[in-house]
This record gives sequence, C-alpha cells and structure tokens, in this order.
Amino acid sequence: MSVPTHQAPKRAGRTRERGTWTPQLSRRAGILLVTPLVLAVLLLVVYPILKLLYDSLTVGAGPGNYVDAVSSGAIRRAFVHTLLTSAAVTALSVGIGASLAWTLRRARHRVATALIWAAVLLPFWMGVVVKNYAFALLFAREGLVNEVLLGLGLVDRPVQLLYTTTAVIVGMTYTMIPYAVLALYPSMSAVDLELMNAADGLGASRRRTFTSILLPLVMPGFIAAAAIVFAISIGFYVTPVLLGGAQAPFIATVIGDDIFTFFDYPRAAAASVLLLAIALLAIGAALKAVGLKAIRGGLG
Amino acid sequence: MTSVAAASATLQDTAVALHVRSIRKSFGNQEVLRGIDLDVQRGEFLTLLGPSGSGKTTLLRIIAGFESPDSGEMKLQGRDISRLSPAERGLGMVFQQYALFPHLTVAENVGYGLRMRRWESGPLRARVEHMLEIVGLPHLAGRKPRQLSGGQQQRVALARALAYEPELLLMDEPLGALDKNLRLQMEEELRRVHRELGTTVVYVTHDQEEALALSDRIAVMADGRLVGLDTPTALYQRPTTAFVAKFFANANLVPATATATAGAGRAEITAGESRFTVDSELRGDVVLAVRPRSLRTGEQPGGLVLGGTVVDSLLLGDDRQVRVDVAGIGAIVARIDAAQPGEFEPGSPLTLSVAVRDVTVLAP
Amino acid sequence: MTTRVGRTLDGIFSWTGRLVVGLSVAFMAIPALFIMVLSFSNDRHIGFPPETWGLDRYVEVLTSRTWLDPIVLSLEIAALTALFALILVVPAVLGMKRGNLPGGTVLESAAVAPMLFPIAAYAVGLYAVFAEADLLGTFHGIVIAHVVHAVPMVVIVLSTALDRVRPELELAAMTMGASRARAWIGITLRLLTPAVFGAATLAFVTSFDEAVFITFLGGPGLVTLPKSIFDSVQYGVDPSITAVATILMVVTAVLMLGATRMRKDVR
Repeated sequence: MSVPTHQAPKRAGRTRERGTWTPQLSRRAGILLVTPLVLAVLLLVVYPILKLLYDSLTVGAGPGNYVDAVSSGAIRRAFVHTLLTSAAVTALSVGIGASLAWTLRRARHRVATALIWAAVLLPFWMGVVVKNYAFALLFAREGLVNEVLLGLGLVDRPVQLLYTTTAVIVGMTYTMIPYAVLALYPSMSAVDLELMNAADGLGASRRRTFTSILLPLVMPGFIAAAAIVFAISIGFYVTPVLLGGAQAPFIATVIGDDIFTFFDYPRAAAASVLLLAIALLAIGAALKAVGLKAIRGGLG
Repeated sequence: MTSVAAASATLQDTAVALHVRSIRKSFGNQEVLRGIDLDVQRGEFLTLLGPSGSGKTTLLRIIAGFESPDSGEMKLQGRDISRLSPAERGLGMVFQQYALFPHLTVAENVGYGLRMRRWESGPLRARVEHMLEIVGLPHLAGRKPRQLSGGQQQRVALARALAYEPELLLMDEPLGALDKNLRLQMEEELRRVHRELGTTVVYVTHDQEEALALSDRIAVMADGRLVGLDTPTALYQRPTTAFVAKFFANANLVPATATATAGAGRAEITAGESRFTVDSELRGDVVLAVRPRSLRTGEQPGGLVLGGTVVDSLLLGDDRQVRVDVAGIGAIVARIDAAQPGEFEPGSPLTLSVAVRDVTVLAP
Repeated sequence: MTTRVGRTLDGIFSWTGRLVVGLSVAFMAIPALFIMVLSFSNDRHIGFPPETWGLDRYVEVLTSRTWLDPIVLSLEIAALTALFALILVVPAVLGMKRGNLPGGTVLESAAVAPMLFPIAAYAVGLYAVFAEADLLGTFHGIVIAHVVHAVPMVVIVLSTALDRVRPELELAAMTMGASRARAWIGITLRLLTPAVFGAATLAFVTSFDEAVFITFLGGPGLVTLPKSIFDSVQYGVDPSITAVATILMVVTAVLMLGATRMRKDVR
C-alpha cells in the first residue's frame, strides 16, 4: 500500500456479542418502535369511534336514539343544511382550487408562483378563528364589503351579509381552498405539458385539449380532493357559529348544544355516528373510485 | 507431515482474500442463489458479470452483510464473517447511486469511515487529503455532494470506501449511472487506483466490455449459478459454456453434430454443409460458438461456411455489422471490416466463413 | 367557421381562467391584509380605513392578562403537543419503513384517518372517552386531544420525508463502521431533521390554532388563545384581536416557511 499509515486502523463496530447481527431490523425492535403509536391509535382513534357507536346504540333510548335524532326537526334541518352547504363549499373549493393548482403547475415566473403559493397557504397560516373573525369584520353591516357595494352603487343601503348561508359558504370555502389545491396539485404535476402542447400543435382547440386530454388525467385528483373537502366540511363548527349565527345551525353546533345545553348525550352520539358515517361514505366512495394512493397523495 | 500440510494451508489462506462456499438464498419461492462457490485472491480485481436477475447483486449484498444467506459460509482473510454486521466486516462499498451523505462535505464523506474508527483529527485530515488526491479531487474537499457531477460523486464514493484501507472493496455497478464517455474515463481511473493501492475488489456489472476492461478474473453468473470463472482472455477466446460464449463474447451459436473420428480427443463436426475435425471430447449434439469478429466474407477452405441472405447491415465506424439469415441455423451476426467491398443490402446473398481455430465446440 | 368559433371560445376560456385566478388570489389575500392593516389602527372602534395609526393594539395585547394568559396556555399546550406527537411518530415511522413489519400501511392509514373525520363527531367520541377517564376540562386531556389532532399531519410529513432518505445511505454508513443505531442517528435522523422540524411546526400550529376540541373538551376553566378569540368574537368584538391575529399569522408563516426552507436545504 502506498497510503501512509499514521495510525493503525482499528476495526470498527462495537464489541458486542458476535453472531447476533441480522441485516433486517429484528421484528421485535420494529414492533417496539411502532408500539406507542399503535397504542395511541387504538386508544384515541379506534376506541372513541367504537365507543361512540356503542353508546349511541345502548345508552338513553338505545337504538331509539337514532329515531330520536332523525325525528327531531332541528337535527334533520341541520343535517340538510350541513350537507347542502358542504356540497356548495366542495364545488367552489375544488373549482377555485383547480384553477389555482393549474396556474401553479403552468406558471414559469418564479415571483408569481411564490405569490400564488403564499396566497394559497394564507388560510393555513391565519388560524381557524382569525380568518372567521376577518370575515365577520368584512361582512359586518358597516364592514368593508358593504362599503364597497354602496360605493359602487350596486346597493342603496347596507345588505345583511353576516349570519347568512352565503357568509358561511364564503368562510368555509376560504378555509378549504388550500386543502383542495394541495390535493389537486400532485395529479396536475403528473400531467405532461408536452402532451398538451402536442395536442395544441395537432390543432385541437384549448377546450378540446382540456376535456379530452387533461381531464381524464386529473380526474382521480379531483375525486380525492372533493372527498377530502366534503368530509372535512361537514364537521365544521367554528365558521357556522361565527358567520352563520343561530338561524341555520350546522350539525356540529346542534351536537354541541345537545351535549352542553340539553345534556342529551345519547342523541348527540347518534347524530355524531350519522355524521361520521356520511364522511366515511364519501371517503369510501372515493377510495373505491380512485384507490388509497390518490387519497393519500391528496393529503400532502 | 502435518506441519507441512498446515503450512501449505496457511499459505493458501493468505493468498485467498475472500472465500465463499455454497451460498444459497431464496426470496419467497424464488431461488436467487443456488450454491455459489468462489475464492477471490488477494489483490485481485474480480468481476461478477451477469444479466439482471442472475443473482450477482444479491451475492454482493450478502458479502457486504445487507442480506443474510439461507446457508453457506463466508470467510474474509480466514475470518468467518457470515454473522458479522457490515461494520464488523470492515469492507468498503461503492454503490451505483453513489450514496454520498448529502449533508456532509466531500472531505467529511471521505473521512466518515475514519471517524467511525476514531482516528485523530491530524492523521484523519492527512488521509482524507491523500485519498482526494488519488481520485484527483483535492480542490473539491469543501463542496457538498449535490454540487458535484456524477463522475465526481462516484470518485468521492471510491475515495470514501478506500480511505480506511478495507480488506475488500465491493462495487455495485458503480458506473451504471454515468454516460458512455465518462464511463470509459472512470474505467481508466479505477484501473489506476487499483494498481496504486492493490486493494482486493469484487465488482458487479452487467456490461461485458466494462468487465473485460477492468478485471483480472471474471465470474459469469446466470440464474443463480456461477457458469464461468476465468481471466477475460480465456473466457473470451475459449468460453466453457454456451451461455458464457453468448453473453460474454456475443458469440453466434451454431447447432452441429460431433462424431468420433481417428485420434484420441478428436471429433468430426458436421454443421450444415460444413465438415471439419477439431479437438473435442464431445459427441452428439453440440453448439459451435463463433464470435462475430472471426467471421469473414467468402469461403475459406476447411472451415465452417455459412451461406444466407443479408437481413440487416449497420455501419459502425471501422466495422460493419451484418446480420445474415442462414437456412436451418437462423440469424448469424458478423463484424467485418467496413472497407471490405461487397453487397450488403438486405436481400442480397452473402457467404460467411470462419477458420477452424476460431470455432469453439460446446455442450448445447 | 368552426375554427373561428373555437378560437373565440379559446380566448374566452383563457381570459375567464385568468380572471378566476386573479380573483381567487385576491380573495385569499384580502382577509389577511385587512386584519393586518386594522391591527395598526389606534381607533377605538374598528373601522376601515383606520383614521389613526399606531401600535396601541400590540401594547394592549402584550400587557393585558386577558390576552397574555391564553397565549401562554396555548404556547404550553402547543409545545407539549408537538413534543408528544414527535415521540409517538418518529420511532413509529422508522419502524414502519425500515422494520419490514406487516400492516405498515394499515397503521399509517389508521393514524392519518382522523384528519378526515368530521371534527365535531370525533370530538363527541373523545368527549365520551374523556368523561370515562376523568380528563374533561383538564390540561392533560387537551394535550392528548391535540396530539391526536396533530398526529395525522406529522405522520404524513415524516413518512413522505423518510421515503426520500435512501436506505443505501444507512448501508453505506454501516459498511464504513457505523452501528445501526449510529447510522440511524447520524445519517437517517440527521437527514430527517428538517422534516422533523416541519412536522413539529405543523403540530405546534395545529394545536395553537385549535378551537373545536377545546370547546367540547376544555370545559370552562381552560381558555386557550383560539377559545378566547372565539368567545370574544361571539360576545362582542375586541379590536386587539387584530393584533393577536397578525402576530399569529406572521409567526406561523415564518415557522412554516422556515420548515420548508430547511427541507430544501438537505436535498
């Protein structure tokens, strides 16, 4: 060897008992590593859901809790209102989210891209309560929106904006757009821009390119995004309270009132199970349509 | 008596750096290694050559300690390593994708193994500098791997694996991620470093030209077995199996019959219209391995003559590669001098021939 | 004919597209900018545009106990949430990805699932369990709930990040003399550090921002910052919220961007 040896190289490795090494991490060590999370998931995810289900069928009126919940006009109205509003929010967020995600995909200007990303992520940075507070101020009788409407002459006196379904939809859409963008972006990134250009070159109109080439590629992303946005939307609590007021409560508000005002936990449990079932149905349908990978990809 | 036997055993042991016996390995139902025996001599550059799926990479990973064999034994300098951790084996390894630590500088990467061996900072720095000089990158010591080109990264990886003077250097298709020109350059570099340091090397590749250029000996693997083990020249000119001939030398395999003839160890070969005698113990159905280079246009007296129709002709600089369809035999590929006149358009008739000394008779 | 119609449609399509994007960006930005501008107003009542400017609201927030107490409580809960979420998830992700365990996907899905539960329904489920375990209205209970709330995101961030750390790097370290533990700590975890910071930030922010679990599970005694803002918005508007909100926004944005930057650094 021509390498100068200043120091005799020592053999590395610990002086532990020999013959125990296995290339793969031993199963015992692996299990040890995942145990805390497994316990947490069992205790705080699986158990609460099972308990909710069990309680809704056994405490109070037993299975009658469901009859109770469904026959209550307030709960029925709240369900219908929640689902319709959430559907509208889903459509709006996915629509706006798609145009933003696509713009982000195609944008070449770095500053513009950074600005759009910042705008998209703002709702995440603002915090749940703060953004609703902002909308409450904007939508107030003397708020900025009314000032602008009056200034433009679109209305001749302030209109009621706060405590309307529109306000709730706007506030929720604002919150859900980042989710939609993040869910759609991966599938749009997968779109081959060359393919689009090729279609352009072949004389397909932009609309044709969109419907025949782009849409089939990004459809899984759309379905995943819609399912994610819908499932999260139907559980909303803060926005409906702050922007929707008492007139048309969301199911979450009714459940909260059941527990804290009417002390009717059984009915709240039944309503919660129904709410959960709807969410799982939406996610399940999406899973069936596009698979776990698309949903998982949609979560970031 | 016994002392003489012991002495010769020791002598043999010191000549053998790595001793591998009956290594078997299955993944699920798939048998990947079906009993590998291999001795790597000290200071030797040995290449495991084979198509993908032949088990060469698995064998390398078993030697490195990344997989455990189902059975068999491994000794490094006479020391049983089969149950040691990679760290305890004291090997060096170069990966195809370099596997440099992205958060460390080039110098820190090269010094990693020395730090694990608790070298003091002075000697450590000197050794790192020396290693970077050997691979020609002393000016890049402070860079991060992502600031380097692929070739530079692989040189750093080589310096890193050699810095602590491992008894054995393993290389897993280290040039696979580089482009052609860089690969040739790196081959030279590897040869030079091997010459300078004299480290024992086990090198894995699927590229036979690379194997030819680099190796002292080549172990050809197919389907989990070692099917040939010899110097590149011997394997190239005197392949021992049809697989080696085909895979290693791109030889044409011509079916033929061997019958006994006058003279011990001689056989009369019949292939199509041709008939000649060669040195061979084989009888019955055989294949003749014919390298594309040894074929000439036109007939040669006494040799193997193959007449057919040109299917395809490709000009490769000084050479022309012609593919000829021979009735009853199939496609034959010949490499002839591009300057040689003749009609090579597809469809034209062409006669090829090869001298008897360039024909290797092999079991089918 | 058709081409002209097509081209006109294309034009409309392109311009409506740009308009939608422009309006969307404005829609996303206006509420945040609006709050920021208002926070620098010294007016007694909230009005836009402000008539007087100053830092009164920030002084108010940083001196009054009504804001400081919830902020401190929220910081404590958020810090513990981030810590415990990491303690649960970091080893688990290593075990799932490097341990060759069966059911890794199932565990990952189960850990991520709460992200898709309607939060109100999940809160009722936790309410029942907490009632049983006497955790309602306790500090520990809220930390536990927030950890559960943060775990999905931490799992997603860390498992995605670990997928990007090639196992070969560990193997390389091990051939050079590192024990498995040393290779994991010195190489894998070191390369995972930015993602761990990112995940911790996300967990911290999620907890700091959480308003539903605290309402269902916190009882009257525990007033975190979001709860305090929520209450004060419901029962009349305290202008200093704008300052709190601005601080919150800037701190969150800086933390999140920092985490993202660190992640790029290692690649």
